[in-house]
Amino acid sequence: MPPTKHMTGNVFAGYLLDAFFNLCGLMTGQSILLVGMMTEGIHTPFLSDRDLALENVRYVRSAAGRLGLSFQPDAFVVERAHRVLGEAVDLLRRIESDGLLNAIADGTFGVTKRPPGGGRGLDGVIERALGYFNPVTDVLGGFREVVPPGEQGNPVSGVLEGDME
Amino acid sequence: MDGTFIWFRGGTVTPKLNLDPATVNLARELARRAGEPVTRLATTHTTVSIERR
Repeated sequence: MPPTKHMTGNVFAGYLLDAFFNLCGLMTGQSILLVGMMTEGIHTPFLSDRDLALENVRYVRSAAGRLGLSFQPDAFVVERAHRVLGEAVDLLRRIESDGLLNAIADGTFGVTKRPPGGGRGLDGVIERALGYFNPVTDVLGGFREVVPPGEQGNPVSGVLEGDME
Repeated sequence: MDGTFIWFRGGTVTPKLNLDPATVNLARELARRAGEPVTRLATTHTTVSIERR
């Protein structure tokens, strides 16, 4: 358990901190785990607090207790990462040739299908006029011009900037 | 991303997944190209909500 001084009275933060300590203890295979409780240092923990503290340990153990094993060589996570990367490249190849909007229309992402020429709020989308100027967009770091392909240092940055509305 | 260490949020970590950096870069490049038409659409259009703020 973490030192009691970290139990400030914010029982939610205390419960979270206890969970981190439980994770460390379980991942490093401690034979004894002194279980932290979110009301210690405030009052003598109720029986119900003790029950919640044990629930915390049980949850962390079942969800992430063997997390450390996952990063050993040839572990499941490694194989999974290679498979996901390979499938991602295949999917991206398809999306790149079919077009992202068509892929969305086909329901490629989850079950959400949106036609390329439809959707809620479409009547509020207008083509920018010649000489369009929006100082707010500039201040917020949004773009006014299309960045030509290959002129970006980080291939991801252009995509991320597109999210800034 | 070619050595043992990669930069990650101000620190260095040792890659443990042994992913091929060329494949990772290919995926990023494909994603960039796939998103490009949408980015172009966004930069040539505006919306009522943007102009209202």
